[in-house]
Amino acid sequence: MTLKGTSLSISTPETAAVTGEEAMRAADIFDRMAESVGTVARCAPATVRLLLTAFATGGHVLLEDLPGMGKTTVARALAAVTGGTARRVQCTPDLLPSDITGVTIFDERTREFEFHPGPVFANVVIVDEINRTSPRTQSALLEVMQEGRVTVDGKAHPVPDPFLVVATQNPADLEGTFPLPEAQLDRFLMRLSLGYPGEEAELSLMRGASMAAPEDLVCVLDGAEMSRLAAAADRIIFADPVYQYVLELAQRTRRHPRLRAGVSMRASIALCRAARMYALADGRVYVTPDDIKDLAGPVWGHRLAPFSRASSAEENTALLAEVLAEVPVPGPHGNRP
Amino acid sequence: MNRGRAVLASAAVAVAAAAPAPLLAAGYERSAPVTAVLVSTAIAAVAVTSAAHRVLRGLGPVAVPAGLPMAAVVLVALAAWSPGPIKEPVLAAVDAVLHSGARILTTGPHPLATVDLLAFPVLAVWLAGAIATVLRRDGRVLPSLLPATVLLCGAAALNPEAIEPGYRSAALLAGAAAMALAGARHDAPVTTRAGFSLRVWAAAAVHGRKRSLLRTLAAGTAVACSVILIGIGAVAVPAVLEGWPVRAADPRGQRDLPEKPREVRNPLSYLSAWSAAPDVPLMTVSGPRTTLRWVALADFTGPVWLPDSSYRPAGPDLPLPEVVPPRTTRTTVKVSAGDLPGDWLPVPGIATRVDGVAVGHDAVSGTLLSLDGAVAGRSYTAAGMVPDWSGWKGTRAATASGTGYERYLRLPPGAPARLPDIARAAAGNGTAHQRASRIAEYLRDSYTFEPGAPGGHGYAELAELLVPPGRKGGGATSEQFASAFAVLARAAGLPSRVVVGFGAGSGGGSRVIRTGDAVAWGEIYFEGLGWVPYDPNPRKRSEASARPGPQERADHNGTYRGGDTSDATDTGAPGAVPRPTGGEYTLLIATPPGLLVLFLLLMPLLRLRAARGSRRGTARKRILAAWTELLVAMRLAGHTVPASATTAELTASLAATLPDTDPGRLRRLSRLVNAAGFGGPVTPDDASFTSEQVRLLATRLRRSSSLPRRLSWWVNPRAALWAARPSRLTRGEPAAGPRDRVSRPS
Repeated sequence: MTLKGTSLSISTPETAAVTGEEAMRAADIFDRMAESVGTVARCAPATVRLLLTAFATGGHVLLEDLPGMGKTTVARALAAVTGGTARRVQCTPDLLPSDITGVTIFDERTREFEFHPGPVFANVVIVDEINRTSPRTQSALLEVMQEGRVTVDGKAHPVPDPFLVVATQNPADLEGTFPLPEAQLDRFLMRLSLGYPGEEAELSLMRGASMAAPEDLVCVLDGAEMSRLAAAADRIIFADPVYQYVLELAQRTRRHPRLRAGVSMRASIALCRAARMYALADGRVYVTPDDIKDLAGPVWGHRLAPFSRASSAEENTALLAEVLAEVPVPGPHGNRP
Repeated sequence: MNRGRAVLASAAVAVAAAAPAPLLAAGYERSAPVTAVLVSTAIAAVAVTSAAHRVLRGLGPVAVPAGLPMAAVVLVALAAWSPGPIKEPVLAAVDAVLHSGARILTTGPHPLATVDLLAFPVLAVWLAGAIATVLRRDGRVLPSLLPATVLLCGAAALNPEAIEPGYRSAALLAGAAAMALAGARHDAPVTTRAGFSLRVWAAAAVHGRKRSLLRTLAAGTAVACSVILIGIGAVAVPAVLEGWPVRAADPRGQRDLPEKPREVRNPLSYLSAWSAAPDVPLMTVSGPRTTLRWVALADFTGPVWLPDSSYRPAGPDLPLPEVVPPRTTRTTVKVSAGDLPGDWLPVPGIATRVDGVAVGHDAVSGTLLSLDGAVAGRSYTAAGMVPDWSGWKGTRAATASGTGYERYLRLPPGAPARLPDIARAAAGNGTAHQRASRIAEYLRDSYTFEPGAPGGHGYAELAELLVPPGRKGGGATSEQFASAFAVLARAAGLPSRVVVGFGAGSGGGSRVIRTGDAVAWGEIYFEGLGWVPYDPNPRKRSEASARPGPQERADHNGTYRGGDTSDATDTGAPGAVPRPTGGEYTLLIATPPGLLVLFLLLMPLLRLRAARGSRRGTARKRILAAWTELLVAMRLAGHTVPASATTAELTASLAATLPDTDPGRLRRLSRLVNAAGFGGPVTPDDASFTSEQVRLLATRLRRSSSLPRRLSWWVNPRAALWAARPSRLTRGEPAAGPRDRVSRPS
């Protein structure tokens, strides 16, 4: 911002809309990443695409699935295609915050305190069964997710960039768990479920089909390319009616009679951010209501708070589908309510 | 829960359809049985249509015609219970369906509830119930109340004076609406259906107990207010409105009736012949002694006075004239007509009720007619209000003038030259009553009653009879004196007419009325009082009679007895008035087909004009116009276009319904529409591609749709509505670059 005489002029960086070529290149990158991940993990391509979108947007993902569905494999593949490091934390009730953030140890030789980084210092951190660890450890982890750094003994240690936490939790076995509070669930950009693979894929897996190891995947997206993608996503065209559509959806969840609380402001912003990247991944320079509809479930599903305490992911999905069916889509056929 | 809701909804629809019943029934002689018939009809319609709707699941409106045979059965049953002119039930039902509407409009108020007068309301209630049921079962709560509301409005227009039943009906409808809304589902209606739907908003979430308390409070207030309002509407307002001086006009009076020529002799021309043979019995009357009125004649043609001849079929209860004389006595007599000619009914004073014979009523003159032909040999009971004019001074009474009364002042050309002079001299100056009295007095004093005098009461006979005041004229009969009085009164500017009636006759409770009791007199119309009788018949040669001043002659018996016989001449047949020309009917009949043709021509033109939009303007505009065209085509073909469906979802559903379309092209179409709508780049080539695809798809949609939809494709008026529905897109605005139309994050 510069002051010239008496008039105030605000200079902004060049924000020309994304060109078609840029979009096509981005779509190509996403296609190749999805293909690579698909060779090691047998899950739905749409889920992989959502996972990649979250990763490229810089958002963390909560994978909710039964054990043995390939959650860890997917996370490792994700780290591999981005050429980053992957670390895994298995959460147990006795896990301490220092076990994941790292500790400062006195070095006898140098007579100084030395920081030993924990498992969170990696590009992709897989936190298995996050709801099995104590709230104290959970909050330490979530602080890292939000702040992007670890503070030990008053000294801040930034985590590497890109940084993605893929937390998993088992929705079925809730005995002796510490469910994540809403405020912490809000930190996750998406909640995804891998689901069972197709019959064919499962049969071939049973026959012992050789799956490539995630670590064998070639890097498709390096750090520089990643920041270029993020910059391109920021310049995606987002028409006002689509913003209004998101707003209307958010307000509808806030007014819904079966919901104690609708989605937060952070949730609507997150949805718009994810929608930009999602459109770019599709090779488009503009966001459509289809993007919003595709992303509403993963981005908002875990942020709704129904009145019934025993709410399940299915119930939230149904509520969200109801809201989506009620709100008119902007477009030539969209009727105002 | 759902079952209870369905039962409540059906009950609400039945109550709504039955709501107009009290108001419709108020138009009949006895309303209770008619109300029962209409309420049962409403319930039957709802039950039958519900069953048909359940059986024909998915076919919706087809349930209405499917239930109609039951309506026909109801009509036949009704015809068997209360037949009209045709006695065989099936034929009577067919006749009723064909003629019911016209007969209701051409019948006087409060007729007997026969099938020919009931068929129209019964069918209307049936249709209202059936249509409402179909609408309700399709989830349209408020529109399902519409048929009953329309019917209620129609009933109110037909029976404007029925205030209390009207409010009862309105209260029933309000109750039905409350029931319907209470039973309505609280979530949003299915927006996937094309057409008219109302959105019911769910209440915003308020927390915990406070919410339930608020709900209870709000619901309690709503119920209390509804009960109070409906109560006020049903009880208090009718009482207030009873005393309201303004009354709506009855639509039945707005229609001119086709006049029926009656091949009978002029009642006035009987008098001369009857005076010659005064002992022939005409009828037997039992009841209080009173003069009977027979026929009023208001049209003077020059040679002859003509009676009115527009008679409406009426029920036993007869409507009162606009003006009723201040003092009247209620009198009921039983009449057994012997050799009375013609089909007019002698009644005491202003008739209020006639039992025993179907009557036609001429509301203007008050004359009654037997609808079943000649009155001879029939017996009936007639009640009436006999005016009492004794002691009336009439000093401040003014005669009526202005529109509607010219016919009572009209004298056709050809009057004797000295008529105005005689009238002026006889009437003199003073109030209307004084002048009328002087004319009557002049006739009474200057002439003598001469039984058997030649008949005839036209200008020619009057010219021979009338002499200037002060000179003694000859003899004549009641026929000529009444005519002379009325003609002189008209010449003196007093609205007049001639009435033919009968004296009280000789004897006690049951007496015989003979030809000699027949008499004619003149009447003058006074503002606010009605017709006041004047007796112009000379007392000379009469035995004993009270002064026949301006009062109803209650003691005319034996006045016109004796004398020799002479043939009365038939001075002309009434009813020679030509029927109205068919011009306006032709226009009335030609208008709907004309409008239909205009509509059939105009709709495709409008559609073509709208379709041109997809070939003009910027590429963006053309693509969006083409997309709208495709959506309209989808709706025309009966596909659902939910407001919450995205372009991709709609094209996916198209791909599913039209399997032979190329999915790649559909995907491109969807992508282009999204690009045009949400700021992506589009080229004129893209626009051409879109238009071409849309045209292809629209053609395929038309071919794949049902025959009725194909036939109505180009003339469906809803297409214009669908195309014009406002959207949230920038469609219709001047084309602008993406920079102006979209916002980007900074």
